Amino acid sequence: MLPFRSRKRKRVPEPESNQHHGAEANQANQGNSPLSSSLAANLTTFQTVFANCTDFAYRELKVGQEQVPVLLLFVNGITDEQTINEDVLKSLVNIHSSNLDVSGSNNIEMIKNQFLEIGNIAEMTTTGEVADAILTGSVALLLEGTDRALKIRTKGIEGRAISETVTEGVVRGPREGFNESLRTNTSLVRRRIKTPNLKMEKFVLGRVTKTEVNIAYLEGTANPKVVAEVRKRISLIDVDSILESAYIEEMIEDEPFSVFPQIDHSERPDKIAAGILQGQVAIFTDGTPFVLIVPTMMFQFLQSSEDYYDRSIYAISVRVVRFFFLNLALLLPALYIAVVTYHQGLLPTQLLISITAAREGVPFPTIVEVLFMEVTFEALREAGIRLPKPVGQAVSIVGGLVIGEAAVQASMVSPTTVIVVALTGIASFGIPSYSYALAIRILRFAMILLSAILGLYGMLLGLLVMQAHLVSLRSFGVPYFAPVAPFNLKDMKDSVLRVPWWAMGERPRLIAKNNNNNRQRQKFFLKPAPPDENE
Amino acid sequence: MRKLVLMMVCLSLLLTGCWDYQEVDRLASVISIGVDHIPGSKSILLTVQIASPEGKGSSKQTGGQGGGEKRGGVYTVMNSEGKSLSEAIRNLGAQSTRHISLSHCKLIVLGKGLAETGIGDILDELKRDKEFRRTNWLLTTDSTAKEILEKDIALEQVPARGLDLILQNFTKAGRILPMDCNDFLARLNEDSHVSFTPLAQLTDIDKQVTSQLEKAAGRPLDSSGKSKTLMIAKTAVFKDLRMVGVLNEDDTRALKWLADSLKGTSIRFTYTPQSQTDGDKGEILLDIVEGTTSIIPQISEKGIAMSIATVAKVSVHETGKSGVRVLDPKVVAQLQLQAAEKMKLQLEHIINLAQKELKSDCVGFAETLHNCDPVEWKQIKDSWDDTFPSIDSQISCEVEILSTGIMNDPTLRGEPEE
Repeated sequence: MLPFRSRKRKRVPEPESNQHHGAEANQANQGNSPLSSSLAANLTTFQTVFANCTDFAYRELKVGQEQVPVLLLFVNGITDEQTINEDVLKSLVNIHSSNLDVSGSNNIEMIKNQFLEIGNIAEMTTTGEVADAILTGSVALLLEGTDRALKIRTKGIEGRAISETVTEGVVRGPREGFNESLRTNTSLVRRRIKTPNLKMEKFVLGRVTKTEVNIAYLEGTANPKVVAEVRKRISLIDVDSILESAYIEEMIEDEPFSVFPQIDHSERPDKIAAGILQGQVAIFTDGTPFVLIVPTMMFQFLQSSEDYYDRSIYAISVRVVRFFFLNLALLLPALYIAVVTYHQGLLPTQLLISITAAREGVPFPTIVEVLFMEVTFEALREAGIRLPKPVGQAVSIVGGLVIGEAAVQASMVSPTTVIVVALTGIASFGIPSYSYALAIRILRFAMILLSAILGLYGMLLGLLVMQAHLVSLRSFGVPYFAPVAPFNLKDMKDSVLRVPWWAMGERPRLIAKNNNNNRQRQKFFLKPAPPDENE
Repeated sequence: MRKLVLMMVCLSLLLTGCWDYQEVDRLASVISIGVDHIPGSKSILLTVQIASPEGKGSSKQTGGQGGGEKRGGVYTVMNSEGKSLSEAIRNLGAQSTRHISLSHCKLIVLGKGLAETGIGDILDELKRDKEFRRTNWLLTTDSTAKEILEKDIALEQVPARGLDLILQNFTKAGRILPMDCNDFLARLNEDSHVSFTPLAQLTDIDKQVTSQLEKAAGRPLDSSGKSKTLMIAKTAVFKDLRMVGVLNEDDTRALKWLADSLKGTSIRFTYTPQSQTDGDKGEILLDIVEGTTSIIPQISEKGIAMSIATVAKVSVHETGKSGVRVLDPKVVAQLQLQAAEKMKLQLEHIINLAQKELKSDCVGFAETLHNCDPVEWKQIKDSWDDTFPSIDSQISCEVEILSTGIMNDPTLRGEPEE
């Protein structure tokens, strides 16, 4: 394992202070104040805290023969009404024994231990805790004469059902994808990895959003240093809100100004489970189906989970095609410009004549043509993603047919340029990871400019700088360009290649814990063979 | 300081740009160069064939370019004069709206007059040009290069490309050895200082053929409007950068046997049967499938002798009117013998021609001698031109019939096939 690079950014956690403004400050103050033993006082407190919150609800009732006043606090919509009605209210109303103490010293234990027909209960002592509990979907139960409250988990937020992934479709392989509920997501992974070694640690990030974040890893397989680093980086995050895993991604990545994504994400439970099984750490964020997985190496972005479900020979050929596409997407327009404007001698004569004929009458230099078409293409793509589907179709017709065809007809661009840009567009769709494709898109424009200024020399210069940057990148201590640089023959089994499953003897060396016992994934020599006839 | 160094590195890398920027539509791609010698102070007449993109793809016509002449295909021929080739090329720039680019040039046609006066200066200038490729074919003509480059070639839009294809085909199979600049110069730098190029001719085949047909048909036939045809069949021999002679088709083939390989050529001979059962007299054509030639010098007190041995493996291509039974071992033996005899005759003829008439060692004896006996070579090196014509040669040819094509015995006599 390579040493962790010291992080340049200084990130000293700020102590919880009164610097927070407005509502945040209020909450911070409440966090410290203990509950009152008077129910009425407590109710007033919370009514003040939740003033102007229409979804805040409370229910007062008297329990048992002693008619002990009880107060239930909850937020409508994020609690499960059925649980409140059938389990909490019913059990409370049905208390008939006279064991409750009017003075109220033992009542809370009795209710907790004897009467409530609900599994998940905890005690709280401060108003802050109570407010947090209500806001995360629990019901708070307060009793007259007690300065403690019960937190009854009845989380029942309406969520999306588990459905097929949108961004990572497969022909063969599990179809379910994560949804916006963190617990559902962790359960989808837990269902696949049935060992107590699958650890999930909870973090709550965002002072206002209080987003729950879980990190999941396989103890004994994941590198403890990486796990510790993930813990450290996540605990340093101090923001008011986390709405998507991208917030976390940008705050824990190694090289914030690099164009390359250094943390992969997925909405496929099988992909995340596979990552955890080879020693990676998954970061689940509540409220988003996208789960981060670290450390990430570049080649992961060029792999699709289906590669592992197809037969290896097909997977290898598809990966080779993808690498070819990657190069096309990055270099084709640059190569076209370089060859057409600087190195015409490199073209076959017939092709040169065709390109010349196609360019005849086009008023702009090739670079302008290419940029014009590339930008148009980017605009069309953006429109295709953002617009509602029916409009999107119209856009593709207008864009593809009218602009492409008409621009050629009007001699605004040459047909060759249209072909080059279209081919580049198709090639860029061949990259399975959207975030990696974005990096390539940006670099493509850099390459175009370089080759327009300097020809092939500029293109190679750009590639050289890009390569130098790639090999210097790290993701949580793991070289980004591994296993190619540093070269590791054994890890090559799952890079451009994807050897058959019976040959995947070991976990990736750079990710998994550097310990021989743990590296082995399966028995060696599992290669199937026809039965021996002598036996 | 560090920033300054970094900036200087970046600038030095990036500021070199753009100087050779050239859009393709500002480029005139020369496909072929022709050079002729003309009397006067400007002794070089340059003819270039330029692929013109208009007419292909777009219907726009930009009109005649810089005095260029529009042809039947999509090409333009331009001429210019100069004291030297580079001056002529520069003068061409004065007529052309576009940058003259030599990087797509495929072949150089050398006019007869120029070839006879010497081509050293032309090759020197071309070799120094950074755009020029040494893989350009060299082609000599017995007329002028201008005529050759102004000639359309059937089925090709750019005639020079047609010539390029013809010469490329010859590298695979054919009786002519095509020469690119590299090969030409390599041969020229060998000990004999003799090299050769294919010879392009404009022949009036059509007129000849029509008159023959008229005789056969007994009535006049219309042959008007047919122009001369471009043909590459012969070889021009250069000694010390000067053309010294032309080899006809048979000698060209024999030259290829000696200088390159037997493969791809053929042997045609008249078969004479030894007995009645062996078929009739007739023309036989054998294709050489593979073969080897070896030249071994033998030095004795009498002088130097070359023993030349060829082994050809052939397949029967035509049996003509002979009707020979090509499966009969006796017949096969006769065929092989007679074919070998014919080969030997042809080889003898070319060697004789080289020694007596051209007095130039195009058959590569000098190189062989140098390789086999460097000590002896050193002694006779300086007097090689005098020694060469007197060298004896023993030729032995061997022909082996490997196959008879996809048919066995001929069916000319109406016999059922076996």
